[in-house]
Amino acid sequence: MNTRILALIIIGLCLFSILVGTVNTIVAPKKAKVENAQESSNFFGMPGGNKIALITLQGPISYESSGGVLGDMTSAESVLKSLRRAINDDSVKGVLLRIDSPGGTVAMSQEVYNTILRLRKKKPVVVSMVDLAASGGYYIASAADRIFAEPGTLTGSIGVIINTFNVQELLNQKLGIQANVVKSGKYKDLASPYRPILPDERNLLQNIINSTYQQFVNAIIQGRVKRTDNYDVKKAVLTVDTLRKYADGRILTGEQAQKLGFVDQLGGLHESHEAVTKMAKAKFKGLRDEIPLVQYNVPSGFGGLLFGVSESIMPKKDLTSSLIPLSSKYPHQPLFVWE
Amino acid sequence: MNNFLDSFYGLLFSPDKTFDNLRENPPLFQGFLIVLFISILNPVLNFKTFDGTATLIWLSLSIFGALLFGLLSWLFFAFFLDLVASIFGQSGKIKIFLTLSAFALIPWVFLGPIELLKTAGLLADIFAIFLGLLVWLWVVVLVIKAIIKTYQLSFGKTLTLLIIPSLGGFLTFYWTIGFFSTLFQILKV
Repeated sequence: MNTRILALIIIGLCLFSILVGTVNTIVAPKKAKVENAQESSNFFGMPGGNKIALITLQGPISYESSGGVLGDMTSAESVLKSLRRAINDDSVKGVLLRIDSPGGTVAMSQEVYNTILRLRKKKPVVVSMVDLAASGGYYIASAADRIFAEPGTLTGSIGVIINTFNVQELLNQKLGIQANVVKSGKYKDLASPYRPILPDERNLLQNIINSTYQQFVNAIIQGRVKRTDNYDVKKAVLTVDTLRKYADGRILTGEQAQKLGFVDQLGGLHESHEAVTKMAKAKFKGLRDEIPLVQYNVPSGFGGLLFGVSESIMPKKDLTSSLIPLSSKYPHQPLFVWE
Repeated sequence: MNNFLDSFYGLLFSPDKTFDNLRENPPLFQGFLIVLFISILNPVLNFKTFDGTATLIWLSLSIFGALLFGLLSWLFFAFFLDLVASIFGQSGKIKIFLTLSAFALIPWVFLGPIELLKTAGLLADIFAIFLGLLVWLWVVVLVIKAIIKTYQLSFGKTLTLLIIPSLGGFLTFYWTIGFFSTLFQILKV
């Protein structure tokens, strides 16, 4: 008899738990779905619900992925992929791009810039400058809806540079080495390090510099001067005259840049998060008060743990490379870089 | 009902004795109901969101599919093993095996509370997965016991009975590969 009661209790408990699970699903349907989505996270620590995507760009901007088991998550290439993912990710309601970069190659800067412009059409993008967002770093930032910088941030350096070497004397006189060049046209070894640069070659390079510089200025005009958004978040006015006056390669502090209109507001991660949240709520109606800020190109949770381990085993950046000017790494190539 | 409760309790705590009792007088209809219940558990437990009529239609289809699949699997498994058991001269006990193998599925009911446990966070989720694996192991052991009791085989012979279909499958696969490779060789020439 007792065994029958025990069997009944076991069956009853099992059925009851199934019933509770089912009723819970029916009674708390969409509300639970929406609210839980805010907090729930997957195994890799990426919340499944609405979020502000925090994308970090660190170091020189170039099409180059460096070491680490998971690759360099803060490289320009990784940032580009994250921005493209954010465009179609409906759970991303806004993007906060943290920039700490001296600039980099022209085409890569332009690709990131254009991707931000596309993203900006669908959701708000705010840039938060950290220590340095100069030249190509500023080029990218100018595509955002708003730019935040700390007073001591270094920015500006609007301009283009090509660095070439002339090692002819060193090779000939010190080492006794003679370079022999066979070429198909007179400019094929333009800016060759084995001989001095000629005046007509200098003109050619200057034309490239001028054209690229104009692209830089136009990009700032398109992304920043001609902004027409209605977000209720303070924006600074940058005129074309001011831009042309200060776009001479000079570096500016965040405070100076804000006064001149190159930066919208002074502030860091907290202020820029507040701003992008406000803009997201204006863009997407019905959002809750808090929209979590989530690392989007650097994994958190279990993925973050894996990433951290990979970083400690295999450092992603060669420390000595930071001592070498970027233009030496990319000789003969126009660069949006401050050095 | 009383008999069922005795069998249910007995299967959890003294399966050998319970299988012996069931073998004497196999309640096939009860087995049939157990298979039906266990079959619909999976779609019901995986029912996570309710968005109205569409969900109800989807759930009904899932339950119908699961019922059909569960019943067919049960029948196929039983008939197939009964056929293989003929190697040991032990076939013709299909009614007993259908009943015993259905009762062997009873531990799956614990997936109900285990599924509820999954809502309590990642650690509980991992614990629930572990418990789920234990239930699976429990069912496998009971099915093996059901085969032993039905066909009165030793453990070694039961394992052979279970391995034979796999070996047969492997042999068929090997022969098929051999056939096609020979065919390709001929075509090449």
